[in-house]
This record gives sequence, C-alpha cells and structure tokens, in this order.
Amino acid sequence: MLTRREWRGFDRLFFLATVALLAIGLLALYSAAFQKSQMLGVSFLNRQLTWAILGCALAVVLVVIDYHRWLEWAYLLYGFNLILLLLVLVIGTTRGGAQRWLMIGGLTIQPSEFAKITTVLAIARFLGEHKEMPGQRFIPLIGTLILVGMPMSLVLMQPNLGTASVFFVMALAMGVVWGLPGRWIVAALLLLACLAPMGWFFIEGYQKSRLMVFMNPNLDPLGAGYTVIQSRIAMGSGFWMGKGWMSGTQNQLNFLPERHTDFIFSIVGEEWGFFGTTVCFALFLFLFSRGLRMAEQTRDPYGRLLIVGLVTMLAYHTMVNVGMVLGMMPVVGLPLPFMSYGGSWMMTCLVSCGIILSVGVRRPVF
Amino acid sequence: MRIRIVERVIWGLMALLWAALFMTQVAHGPEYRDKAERNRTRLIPLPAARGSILDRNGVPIAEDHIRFELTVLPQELRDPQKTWTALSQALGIPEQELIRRYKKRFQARFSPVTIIEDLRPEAAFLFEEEREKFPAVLIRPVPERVYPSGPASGAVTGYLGLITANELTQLKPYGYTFRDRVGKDGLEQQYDALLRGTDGGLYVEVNAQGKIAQQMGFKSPERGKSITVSIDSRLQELIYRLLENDRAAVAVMNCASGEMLALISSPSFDPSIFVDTTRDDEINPILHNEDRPMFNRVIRGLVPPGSTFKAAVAYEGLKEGKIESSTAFECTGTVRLGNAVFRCWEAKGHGPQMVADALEHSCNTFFYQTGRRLGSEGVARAARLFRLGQATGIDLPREAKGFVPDPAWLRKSQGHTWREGDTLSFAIGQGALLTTPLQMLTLFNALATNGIWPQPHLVKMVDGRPAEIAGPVSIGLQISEVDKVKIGLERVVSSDTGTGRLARVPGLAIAAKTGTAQAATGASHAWICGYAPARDPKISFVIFVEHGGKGGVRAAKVAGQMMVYLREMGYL
Repeated sequence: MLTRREWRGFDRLFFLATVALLAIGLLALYSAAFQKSQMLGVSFLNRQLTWAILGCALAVVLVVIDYHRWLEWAYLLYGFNLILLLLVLVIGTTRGGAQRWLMIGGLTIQPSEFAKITTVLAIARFLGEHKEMPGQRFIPLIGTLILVGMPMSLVLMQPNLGTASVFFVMALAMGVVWGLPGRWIVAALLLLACLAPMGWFFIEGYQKSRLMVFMNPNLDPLGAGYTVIQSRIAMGSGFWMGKGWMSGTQNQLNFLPERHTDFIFSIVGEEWGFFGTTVCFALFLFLFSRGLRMAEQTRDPYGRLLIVGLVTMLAYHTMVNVGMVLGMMPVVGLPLPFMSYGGSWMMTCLVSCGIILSVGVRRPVF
Repeated sequence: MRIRIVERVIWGLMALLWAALFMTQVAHGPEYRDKAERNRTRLIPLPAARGSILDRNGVPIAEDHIRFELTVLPQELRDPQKTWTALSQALGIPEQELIRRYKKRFQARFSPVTIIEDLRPEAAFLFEEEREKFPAVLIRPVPERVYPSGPASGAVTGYLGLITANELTQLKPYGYTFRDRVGKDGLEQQYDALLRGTDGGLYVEVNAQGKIAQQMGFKSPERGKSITVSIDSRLQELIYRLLENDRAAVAVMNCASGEMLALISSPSFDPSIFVDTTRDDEINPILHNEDRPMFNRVIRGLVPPGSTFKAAVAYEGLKEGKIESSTAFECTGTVRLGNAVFRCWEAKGHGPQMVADALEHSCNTFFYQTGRRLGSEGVARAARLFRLGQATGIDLPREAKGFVPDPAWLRKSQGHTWREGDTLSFAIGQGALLTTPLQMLTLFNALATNGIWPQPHLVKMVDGRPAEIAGPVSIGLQISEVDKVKIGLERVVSSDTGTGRLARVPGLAIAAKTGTAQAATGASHAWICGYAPARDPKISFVIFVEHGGKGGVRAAKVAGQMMVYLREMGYL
C-alpha cells in the first residue's frame, strides 16, 4: 500500500481532468448513440460507463502497485501481445475491410490498442537499461527500432496505417527524451518523408481512396468523402455555442456515420460549439502538461520514459483525431482518448493514466 | 530537459489545431450552418392536377381524376399483425390477400407499398381521420389523366408524354421539371401552358435515410385552368363509329363562327394509354400501326382535292367572265389536246353541260375547258383566293399548309415547263395541288357564307371566360357569281343524277361536292365537302375517306348519316 507521503504525490488535478473528459465523452456518446440505442435496444452508454468504471478501478490498482513490477514483466507482456497480434491476422474478425478484432469468449478485443502500452513498457525498459552507456548510442537505437518495428509491421498487415504510425511517434518521442542526437532525429524524419510517397504502392485500395478523398472530399461525396464532408458540416454548424445537447441536426438526423466512435468530437463540436471544443482542448492540454510535469520531476529514467511514451500516445491520438474530424487529416481511424466508444480503447487510455499516476506518486515531492 | 521539446511540440500542434477549430466553427460557422440546414430540409413535390378539357356541353373529354392510393410504409410497420388485422376489418379484404399484395409489391424499406390503387374517396377520408390508428398507412392522392371520349376525340385532345430534353431546355424558364408530363399533340400541346397547374410542395425535415422527421411548410398545388372547346363529344363518338376504323377524316364547322363541332381522324388512339402505366404494352402497336392512328388527317393529311376543287374553278371562271351560267360545253367523254387525250370519268360523255350541270355530274370536260380559258394563273388564283396553300390557323399544333402549284414552281423544281395539259389536270383538282381536309372545309364554308371567313377554332372558353378569337374577315366574293355555283352544289345531292345523291336526307337540303382523288397506289380517295341547310347554311363539313373509291358512294353515305345526327342534335 501507499504511504501517506506517496498519497500526497497523487496528482489530483490530473485525475480530475481525466474524469471531466470522461464525463463530457459520456454525455456526447449518449446524444450520438441515442437513436442507434433505441433501434438496437442496446445501451451504448451503459457499456461505455461499465468500461470507464472498470478502467478507473484498474487505474487505481495500477497506482497502488509499483510500476517497476510491470517493467520487470515488460518483455513478457510485450511478447504475449505480439502473439495476440499474430492471432488477429490468423483468426481475427474482419470489419470494414480490416482484420483488427479478436473474439475471446464473447468479448471482442483489439490487441493493437493494448500493444501501444506493452510496447511503451518494453522500450522504456530497454532504453532505461542502456542509459549508462554514453557514446554507445547505436545499439539502443537498433534495439528500439526492432522493438517498435515488430508490432508496427503486424499492425500494418491488418492493415491499420493509423495505429502503426502511433508506434513510430511514441518511440520517436521516447528517443528524444532518452537523448538521441538531434541530427539522428532530423535524419529519421527526412527518411520518413522520402519513404512516404513509396508507401503509396504498398497500401490497400481503400486506404488510397481515403487519401485521395482527404485531398479532395468532393471527389466522392456520397462514398468515401461523405463522412469527412458531413463531419465538417457538423463541426462548422456548431458556431460559438452549438445547437445544444441532443439537438444537433447532423447528429440526430443520422447524417454522421461512425459518430459514436471515431467522430465523437464532431458531436461535441455540433452540440456545444466552439465553446465545447475549447473546453475539451483545455482539459486535454492540461492533462498532457501535468503528465509531462510528473515526468520532469521523477528521478527514475524508466518512469520518465514511460510517461513520455504514454502522454505522446494520448496527445498524438487527440491531434490526429481532431484533425480528421476537421477534415485536415486523412481518415485513419484513430479514436479520441476518453471519448470514443470502445472497450479496448477505453481500457488503454485509463491504464495509461494509471501508469502515469503510478510514476507520479513515486516521484520525490518537496 | 529534452521533455520540454516534447511538451513544446504538443503545445504548438494543439494551438494550431485550436486555430483550425476556430476557423471552422466560428469564422466559417455561418456557412456550415447553412449547409446543415440544407442537408436536413427537403421539398417533396405535390403534383398539381391538370385543367380539364370540356366539350361544348360541359362534358369532359380530358380531365384529371384524383385517385386515392392506399399505401403502407414499410419502415413504419412496427406491428404488422395488428396493422393487417385492422386494415382487413376496415377494408373488408382478407388479411392473407393484403399480406400477399404487400409482399408482392414490396420494393425497398423506404418506398411506400401500394395496397389499393383506387380507394373510394369516403374510405380515403375515413383513413385520414383515424390516422393514429393506422400509423403505417399513407393515403396518397394521385392525379391521373382520363379521356372519357377515348379514340373518338384522340385527334382533338392529343396526348401527354414525359418532357424531352429539348422541350425541357425550352420550357425550364416556365417552371417545368424533368418529371413533368407535357402535351405532345392536339389541345394538350396547344394549351399546355394553361392546362398545366402549379405544383405544390411539402417542406420537410428529413434524416440521412430521407425519412420524414417533421413537416416545416406546405404549399398547396394549384390546379391548371380548364378550357371549354366547341367540339360535341357525343357527335364525335357517333361519327367515329360510322367510320368503322377506316382511314378517314371528318370535320364539321359552324358556318358563321368558325367553331368546330366535330374533328375526327380515323383510326385514332385512346390517349389514356400514354398516361396509364398499366397499359404501356398498348403503345407500341399504336406507334407501329400501318394506319397511322397518331396522324391527324384533318389538319395534316395532304391529298389532291380532286373534283371538290371544281367549285372554286367554277366560281373563278364565272367571276372572270370566262364562262357564263349559260355557257355550255359538249362532253363526249374525252378532250384531245395535241397528242394527249384527257378523259371525263363518264366514258360515254355527259353531252352538253352548263356550269350547274357540270357540278352536279362532276363533269371533267366542262372544267377542262374552263381551265383552258382561265389558264394556269387563273386556276392558281382560284386556289389562293380560297386560301389553299396556307394554314387555316386552327388552334392545333403542326397544321400542314398544303401546296398550290404554278408555272414558276414547276420550272424551278421539276425542271420542265408548264404545259396546257398541266392546267387541265389542275382545273379538276389533280396533279400537284395538295390540300388538307380542313382547308377544303373552309373553302366550302366561304361559298356557304358568300365570302365571310371566320377563324376555324376549337377553344371557346378558358376558365369560364370567353376565349379571344380573331373575328371573321371577308375574302371578297361576288354574291351573284357564288349563287350560280351554289345552285350546282345543291343539285349534287338533290338531283337523282347528282354524284352526291346518296347523302340525301329527307326534309333537309344539302349542298355539297364529291371528289375522287387519284391515289399513288390502290383505290382512289373519296371526298365530299359541303354545307347545310343549302339555303340557310348553318354548318359546313368535309368527309375524306382514304382509298374510299368513288366519292359518290362511301363518303356520301357517311355524310347523309352524319346529317341525320346533326339534325337530331339541333345543329341544323
């Protein structure tokens, strides 16, 4: 159990921001899934609420238990997750042209979501262990590339371009904080920029059309471009204060597909306007800053790397998702933290918070 | 610390996104509001009924019948068993039958399924009143064009068809849309702009599936204007039956006013087949029928007038002083001109003939001689005096103009000069002279009225107000000379040797002229044109029977029977 001193280190504001975002997310979800719930007789809200409570409980457990235990088990968890990712490719469930889900006893899970955490754990352990070897930066680099490359390629094969990119960005941020030379980072980014056009030949037809439509949504206004156009109309029509909860016409009249999952933010935008989206942005930014502040204050390099990886993961998801909803980025299917509907994703977000707070309570508090 | 780099990148990117949010939601907000508004609202057109076409007695010959369709909306059918039971009780139709119809006609979740095509209006109102009891039931009023007079008046009413691309570009400024049916012929085409109503609409809020969520506005459709025409639909039907589907054209006109009492082209078509979707299979046989039922012979059939034209030649000869009423020509059956021999239809010859005798017997010889005296210019002048070669201007679309030949035309187009023989043929209405039945009717009408020329027309009233029709004009005939022609025309029917004696009706003096126009192939065409009563003309008429043989027989018989009908109906 935690000592009183350690409890003082518990970042209450970080926790409150998380709960606030969860609450906003649940309200938006209720509005978004209202009709679908009525039609299917399934309460999306109840399910999401269940996961949120379970996730919070799990987070508390994670705060209480010393995170070093997870670092000890990092490679094991990482390996187990890789096996799950392999299984997805073999016996996974296909939805919307991609194989991403695994059916386990009536539960559908998305191992690629959990892989984000296990990979962060594995990289943190690996880079943390190699901290004491200055001048020998080549080996850690290769090791990190292998650790991030394996889940990335398995996810790419599903295929899931968006999630694959998360692994790369997380590893990059961790590398930066660990002390990777600046020119290496610049070189890596340049290489990526050169390789990106070549990727065109490797991606699937539906991904190509998504990219084409991203360039010009009106290419296919009733097909691939429909979601982007309708989402942008929903966001834009919110204006300053929005149309009011449960009163978004784009939402309630079913113009927005996927609105309870990837496009939940367009409900916030339509029904609560610029005011609502700004509140969400402030909460997210506060959350990320508080997380990074804990990383700064801890003296444990493992903990620091863990926080940086997880905060980067959450921030990257937030930015890509909002960009997607605004039509500024291709539709890559990255859900919004704490808000998008989905059990695996909700768990991943709350477990991440749990680990961040777990590092936080164990930092020296003055 | 390196963490600061990560933090700054996150802050920077989030700030950028926040600016983008501001641009989308606030700067461009009103635009997107507008788009969202248009997204959710839709206009459901409510078709307006077309105006009726009524005959002179107020009997409809074309009208929109409002049919009530009972439809079931699949997406609203929540409790099928309850709905079917209730419907079965209300309609008195077994449940199984209702379900069978529903299953057979089901197309898609969002399109209403028609269960009953023609619901009694009382029943329709009952369902509307008890709407809550039948949430899945929708009663749809559907205007549908019906033509009670059928094929008898097909040539007058014309028919409706879907608008073509060409018509649409022309008519778009007048509010026509691509789904509109427009008049394709006859009165339906001529008065389309009046008959057509203004469509209304229902302004509704819809969801992404196009399902109605809420009604926001309503504009009731406006019925088109009704027009009353001078036709007597009962007379049309009686005459049409007389023609027995032979290729023929009949027209009857009021002498003084120019009102058409009857206008029949036979065989004809039932205009309903072009609007009734269940009768689509009847369209092709009509379009490909050799008898050309869609062809209005009265105004578009171009044929030589044959001997009926002699009346005009006789008048011109008398007026020009080339002949007198006492001038006699000896008919031996042939006229020799150079090497050519011109025959009278009576090979034995008619003996000495004066103008009235010649009209009575339709003697060719007499008119060969008159034609020689008049010359080609004189005969052409006679034709033009009676306005042959120009449309009568009746209010029907695509009227043919006909053709009056003259030496200049022959030289130019046929490449040979006008010979006297051409004049001879011309004088008896053969050769290149082409007229429509309606033109011949107006020629005889001018004789009946001593040169007063009313505008032939069909429309009498628009929406209960008298239509504007050009007044009668005079073509300047000399009454004394017309009277000499009229004596002959009266004898055509009244005399026992007259060519039109078969048209005789006891107690009615009819003046007429028969004609036989040579056809390119097959039997000759039969004509009879005239007016009645002979001394106090009230109506003029034309009967043309394609390949009807000698005019005296078929056409005259029809004329006689028609006169009986006209007298019974009080037109004589």
